[in-house]
Amino acid sequence: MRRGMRVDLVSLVSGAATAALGALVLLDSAGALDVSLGWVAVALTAAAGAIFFVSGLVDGGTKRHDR
Amino acid sequence: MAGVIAGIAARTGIDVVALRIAFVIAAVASGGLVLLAYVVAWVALTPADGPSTRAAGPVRLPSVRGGWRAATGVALLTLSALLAFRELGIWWSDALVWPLVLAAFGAAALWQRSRATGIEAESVPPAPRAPSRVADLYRGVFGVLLVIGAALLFLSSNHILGGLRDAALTAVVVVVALSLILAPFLWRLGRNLAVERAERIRSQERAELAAHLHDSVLQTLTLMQKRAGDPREVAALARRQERELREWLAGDGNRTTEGSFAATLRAAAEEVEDTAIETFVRDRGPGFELAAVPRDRRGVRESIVGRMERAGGQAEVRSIPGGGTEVGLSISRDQAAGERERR
Repeated sequence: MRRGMRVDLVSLVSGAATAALGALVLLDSAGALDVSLGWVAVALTAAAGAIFFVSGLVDGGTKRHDR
Repeated sequence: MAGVIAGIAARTGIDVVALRIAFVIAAVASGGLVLLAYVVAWVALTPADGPSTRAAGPVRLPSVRGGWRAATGVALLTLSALLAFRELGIWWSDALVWPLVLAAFGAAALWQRSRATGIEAESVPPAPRAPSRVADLYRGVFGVLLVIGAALLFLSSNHILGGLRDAALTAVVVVVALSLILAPFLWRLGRNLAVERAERIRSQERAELAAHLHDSVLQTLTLMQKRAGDPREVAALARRQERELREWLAGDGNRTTEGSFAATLRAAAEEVEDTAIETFVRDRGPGFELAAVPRDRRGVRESIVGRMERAGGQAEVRSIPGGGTEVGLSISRDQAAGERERR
């Protein structure tokens, strides 16, 4: 990573959440896991919650530093 | 209890009420597992220095720009945890937990609304951007609907709603029917009221403008006609009128020269502390017949009587031909304040 390049935390978490969801669906398709609808709901809400949470924290942190 | 939630809220900037609600829901739904995590956090986390986090927590959310997103994230993560507990079988019952979740979020919305109002009233510390009244209203309505929905869901899930359902359905049908009948009338009434108010404001502005022109421009023109033989006096009058009119157009019409009669009068008015004031102006001039004043003359009708009425006061002009004129002006603070509010 180049010096001075900043990591966008929201994008990082969004990418990680999407990758985790993709891995879950892939494992289910491959038959390695048997994912029920209930667990899909758990994963989806957790992913969305994590993205919102981090986005809110990052925005709030930026605002506090701006003062 | 031990300040763990308040500490996390103070550290992250998330609303402490949202965190506490999420904690209670998760504690109930998980059968106590989350309480264990709370105790672990109590032992593991170090106390914050400085002012109490309990006091610092409540003022954070209105001042944090991404607060609503963080709160939504907490809500979704709580929902995810609840669904996970349900899948794992660590669960009380759908009839209890889901109404509790709805009621908790409704209560959080209502608490947030009332607390924001309290913070604004105390102004400690001042919020950088106060929430608008419309957003506040929506939040309150949303909270009420969530709590009502939670109560209905609980009653329905526990089969208590059967008897109430018919009565509620009848009431809803009647309300919808009445709304359909009355909606056009109410809409037209509201529109007419708005039009009438706009027209009243325009009319008052026109009257103010006419009164000001009468007292300034028309009086000066009359003076100029009387002194037409003195060009210097006419030029001075024109200059003074031009300056006064420019100041008035620029919105600085209340500026007065220090030491002038107007400035003295204004300073005296500022010192009035009574609830009402009465002023009488009397002259020993030739007087006039009030009823004989032509309709197109605006001096008494608009500049004196009309202006006082628009300000919420009263004016009475008594004049006898050959016996002078007396003008009585009266206004109370309550009347003036009421008139300002009505506008």
